[in-house]
Amino acid sequence: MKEQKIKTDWASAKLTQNNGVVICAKGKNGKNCIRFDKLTDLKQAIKSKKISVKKWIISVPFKRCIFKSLQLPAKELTEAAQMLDFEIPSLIPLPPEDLIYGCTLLNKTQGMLNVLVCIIRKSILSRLLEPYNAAAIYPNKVIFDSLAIQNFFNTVNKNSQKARLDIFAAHKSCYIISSRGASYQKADEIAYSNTNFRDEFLNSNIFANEISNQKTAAKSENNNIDISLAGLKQPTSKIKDILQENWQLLPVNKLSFFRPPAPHLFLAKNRCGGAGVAESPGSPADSLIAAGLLESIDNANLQYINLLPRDDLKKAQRKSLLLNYLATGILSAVLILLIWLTLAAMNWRIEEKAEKIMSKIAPIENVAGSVESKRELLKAVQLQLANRGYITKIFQELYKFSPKAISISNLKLFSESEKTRIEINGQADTLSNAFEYSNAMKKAQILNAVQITNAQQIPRPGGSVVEFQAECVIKEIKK
Amino acid sequence: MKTTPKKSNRQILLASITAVIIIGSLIFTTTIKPALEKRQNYIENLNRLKLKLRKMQANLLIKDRIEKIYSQIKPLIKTKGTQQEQISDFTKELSDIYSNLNVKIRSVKILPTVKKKFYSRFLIKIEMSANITDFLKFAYAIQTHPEAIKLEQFSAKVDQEIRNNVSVSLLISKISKSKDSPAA
Repeated sequence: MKEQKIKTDWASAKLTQNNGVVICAKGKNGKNCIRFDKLTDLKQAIKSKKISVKKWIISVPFKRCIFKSLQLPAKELTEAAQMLDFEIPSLIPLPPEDLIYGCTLLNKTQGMLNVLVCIIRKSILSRLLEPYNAAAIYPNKVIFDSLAIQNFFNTVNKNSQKARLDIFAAHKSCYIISSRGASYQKADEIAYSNTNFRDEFLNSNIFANEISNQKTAAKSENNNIDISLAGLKQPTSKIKDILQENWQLLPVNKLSFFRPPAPHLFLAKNRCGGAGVAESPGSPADSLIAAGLLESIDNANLQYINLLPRDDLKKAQRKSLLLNYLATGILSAVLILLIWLTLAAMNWRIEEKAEKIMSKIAPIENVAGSVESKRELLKAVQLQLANRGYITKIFQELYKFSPKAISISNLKLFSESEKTRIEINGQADTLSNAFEYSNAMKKAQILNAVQITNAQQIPRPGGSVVEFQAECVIKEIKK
Repeated sequence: MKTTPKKSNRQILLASITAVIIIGSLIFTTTIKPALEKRQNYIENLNRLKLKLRKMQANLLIKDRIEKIYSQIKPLIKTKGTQQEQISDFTKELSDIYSNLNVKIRSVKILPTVKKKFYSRFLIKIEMSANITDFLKFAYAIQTHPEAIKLEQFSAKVDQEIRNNVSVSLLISKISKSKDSPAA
């Protein structure tokens, strides 16, 4: 006996005759089936999170459904499923809004699909769902039980592509299901009139008919048929003999015998031993159906056989979509918040660094500020005092070096940022004397770069005079 | 009965992309961009502070040398009163110089003061006619003035009528420490 918790995306559930339930879920160690003697035990387990299932699949008895085969001009099952809405009114004289329907593939012909349409009334379905809902199971998928059984046999036969007859002998009845390839074709259930079901099983007309039908279906292939058995206690060889003796026309290719999975019994906490599971033989029919239901989840051929109201399905889809949007929205918001927080943290770090520097600056700010202002003042004063004495020096040099033949009439001095410029207007008696002026000034210390920029000979009464313009750039006065 | 036509997948996709772009840009402009701008400002401020600290530390290293030189030039840039008072002191100093000389002042024009962070620069333009000797005396007096006064520009023109006379236009500047300068 061991404490066990189940947490899974999908699980199947099947009500038992004695108001119990068998659930199957895929776990780490493969398929896991658990039987609950009471629905309340399951409800309690779900409530206490011992069993946490996101989606449930359940079955309804196939005898509560109406089956119609239909030939549709479709290439894929998806197209055929869409066409069903238009075909249903011609199939059954009931208002379509009272019906729930789905389809599976029977076979393909050239450009046509033969589909098996399963129809159930809404009122019947809601009655069948009531006990599940009471146990807090709200299914996401509903199929009929014979399909679940066929799906179990499909799985154990490794999806055999041959014609096959699946026989499952339960306690009170026997299921006979015919398949072609992996596609479900037809099913029937023979209820035993007495406990010696074997004779009934072997002499049943229904069984004979099924075999005959299956033989017809298999004819197009190699006339062989596989038979899969489950739930029977007779030795396999004996059954094979009986089958071949009774129906000589049937060539049995392969006869396989399978045991239905044995569910563990779930013990509620208030019972002896506490919460956990214990080995116990349960109803083989229920566990086989539950196991088959679980296998049908991944079967692509069964995606259009969900016997749940379409409105409910749409609502569930919408809910899931909204949840996805909400999750995406929340994640995006969290992401934006994280980006913002990262930036805020970076800003905070920079601010902290700035504060550290400020704390270093604060004690030296006054002293360093005073030094800075003094430095600036020094620079300004140095610039102000630089070349302060050049005026007297200029006049001194003009007086000393200007030739006698030159007379200066105008003097302009401009002090610019890096240089001082002087413009001289003067007169000379001849042009040669005027141009000689720059040569004469070369001996000067600061006016040694005098350049004549313009010279004009102007006639005067009794001769002529030369008016000239000169320019000199004083870079620095050497003391 | 009118029915709304069903939206195609392409329309839904385009609408979704548009919505995502709009919402994304709104979130970016309201949340991310301000934080990025704030970060940029903080970084600039941090760099400014780092530079300031480096400058201050460098100033501390040269403090003694600067103090020593500053004590020498301090008398040149003494500050007295308001800016107006300083300008009037400046004009008074100039008039003290030329009142003792044989110069004829034609005009005295006070130009706008150039204000710097730690000092002000006052500018006065004077037009005068004077004997060349007196003008040179005036220039020499400015050159040797105990305050930071400087002859920035001048233009001298020989008088046609009186041979030794010149008409002079002068631009004289003076530097004075600002009142709010931390330099003591």
